[in-house]
Amino acid sequence: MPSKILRAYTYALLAMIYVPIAFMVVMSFNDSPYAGEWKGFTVKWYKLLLADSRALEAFNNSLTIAIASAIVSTLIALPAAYHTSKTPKLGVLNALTAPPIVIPEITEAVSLLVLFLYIGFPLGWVSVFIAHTAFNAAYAYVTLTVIRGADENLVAAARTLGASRFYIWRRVIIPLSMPGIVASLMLTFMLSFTNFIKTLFTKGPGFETLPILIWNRARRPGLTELSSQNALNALTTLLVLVSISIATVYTVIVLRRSRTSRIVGA
Amino acid sequence: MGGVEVVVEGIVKSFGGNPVIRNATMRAPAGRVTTLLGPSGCGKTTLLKIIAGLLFPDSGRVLFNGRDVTRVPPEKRNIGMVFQDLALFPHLNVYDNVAFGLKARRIPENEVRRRVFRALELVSLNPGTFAFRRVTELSGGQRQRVALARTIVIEPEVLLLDEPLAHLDFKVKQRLLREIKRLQRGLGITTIYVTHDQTEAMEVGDHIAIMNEGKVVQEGEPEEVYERPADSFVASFFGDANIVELGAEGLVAVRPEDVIVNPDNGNADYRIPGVVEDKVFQGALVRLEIRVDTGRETVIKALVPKGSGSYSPGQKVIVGWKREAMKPLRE
Repeated sequence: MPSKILRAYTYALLAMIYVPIAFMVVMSFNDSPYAGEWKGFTVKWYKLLLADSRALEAFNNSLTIAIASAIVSTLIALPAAYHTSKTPKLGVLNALTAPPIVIPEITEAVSLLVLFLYIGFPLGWVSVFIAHTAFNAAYAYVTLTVIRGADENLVAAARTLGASRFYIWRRVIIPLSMPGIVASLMLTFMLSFTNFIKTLFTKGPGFETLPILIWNRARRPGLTELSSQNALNALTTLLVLVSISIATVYTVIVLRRSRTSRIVGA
Repeated sequence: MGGVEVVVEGIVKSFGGNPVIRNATMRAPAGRVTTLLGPSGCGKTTLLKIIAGLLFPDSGRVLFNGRDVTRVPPEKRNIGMVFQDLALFPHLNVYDNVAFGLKARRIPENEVRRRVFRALELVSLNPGTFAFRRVTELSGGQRQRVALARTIVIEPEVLLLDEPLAHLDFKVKQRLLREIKRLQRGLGITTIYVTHDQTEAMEVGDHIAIMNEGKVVQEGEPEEVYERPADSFVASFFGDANIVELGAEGLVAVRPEDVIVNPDNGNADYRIPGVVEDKVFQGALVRLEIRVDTGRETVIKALVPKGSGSYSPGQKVIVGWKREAMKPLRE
């Protein structure tokens, strides 16, 4: 029964991915500081987080950098994506947008750090924001071009119907590009919000985002109550919660978009 | 009524050094349907886009009632165009698609509503049923009607149709073709209908222009073009033809229906012996392919009425035709 074996295999694979995360989520409600021993249900780790100003500041840094980077990288990518949608063949240009996605992240991180140090750029919120935006722009571009907005014939049709350029942007191009814009905003937000390596290299001393804070505390587990295993589990659960909700909305939008555009083709 | 006469003069257009239209001169009479017929890739869609103003030619002129509109953008030409893929706005419902051109002209909402409903009725879509449907929920024929309504609602002076029925099945196509014709007669809009399908071209066109390799090779009334094709391309593309090279007559075309099989004495001016190679039953007519050993074509196609004798492959026959059946062609 190959199909049964395949199904079991698929479940095993999903378990491998989700069991550690589920374990972490469950343990964040464990009344013991140690993940291994269950002492009963509690929300005390979350209460502790709410009073933890360092965690709140890290969360705030993560959030503001992710929002700013998502908006700026999507805006940067938009004209390029619009150009691509009007030009059918762009072999080299398209090929050039792939490296940022496949180059090892550590390479990008080191090169960014070297660049910042070379030009003497102060490390902190702005340098992390620039680092995130630089690679996010590539993802934003790919997202905006994959999810095609208004094709050229729609614009041509609108022109023959007597619409001005401004009217066409307002009523055709922007509404039809909206799913791509939203998807790009969400993807780049998520990539920035959860990024660790590039942040670590470009943040400078003292500056923390949520993933950096988790790492700093996980390096010295149990040093304080805040760095106990299950406090970290609560912190990480929050990170996962934000990413999963964004990813869900993103998936729904992308799926709906690709479904409608398939029906529309004559 | 009356409408605008469209004249295209010496249009040349290249894309990246690649000539698509070499020399196109044609006329679309006011208030009539002109079909622009040609094989795919002959430049007919490009020529239509130049008439629409979506493309500007490298040289040549487009005239609407004598007025030079060559460089006027489409939004200022008062034309309507139905695209091959229809180009309906997928994010708008039927009503908003049809209302698009009116709203772009800032026409008051109550007049928009009245005109949209009337346009939907004109294309036989009940506004009560269809106005607020998504265009993605409609059948191919219904979408076609929406595209047509969206175009006629702005009351264009010139209606341009780019293979509008290309993706529909035969029956829907036939019905829509009749409706387009009825609609066009009622509105009296000068219409240019692009197609690669000769039966469609004959059915819908009052006037016909035939394009090949970037040139308009012949134009005129369909019957006239059929009776007097200018060259071998027109003869075989617009209707079927046997192209025969005869010593004194030069190159001529003979329509398959004019070929007489085993003619009686005095019934045919030209006779060639041949052998039946293939026989295809086509309903009222039988199509024969007869191999001969003279002339430029070695296979002569003949259409004979179904009861006019039994022929079978291998049978020796004489093919012939009358002098007046031969249409001289320019090489």
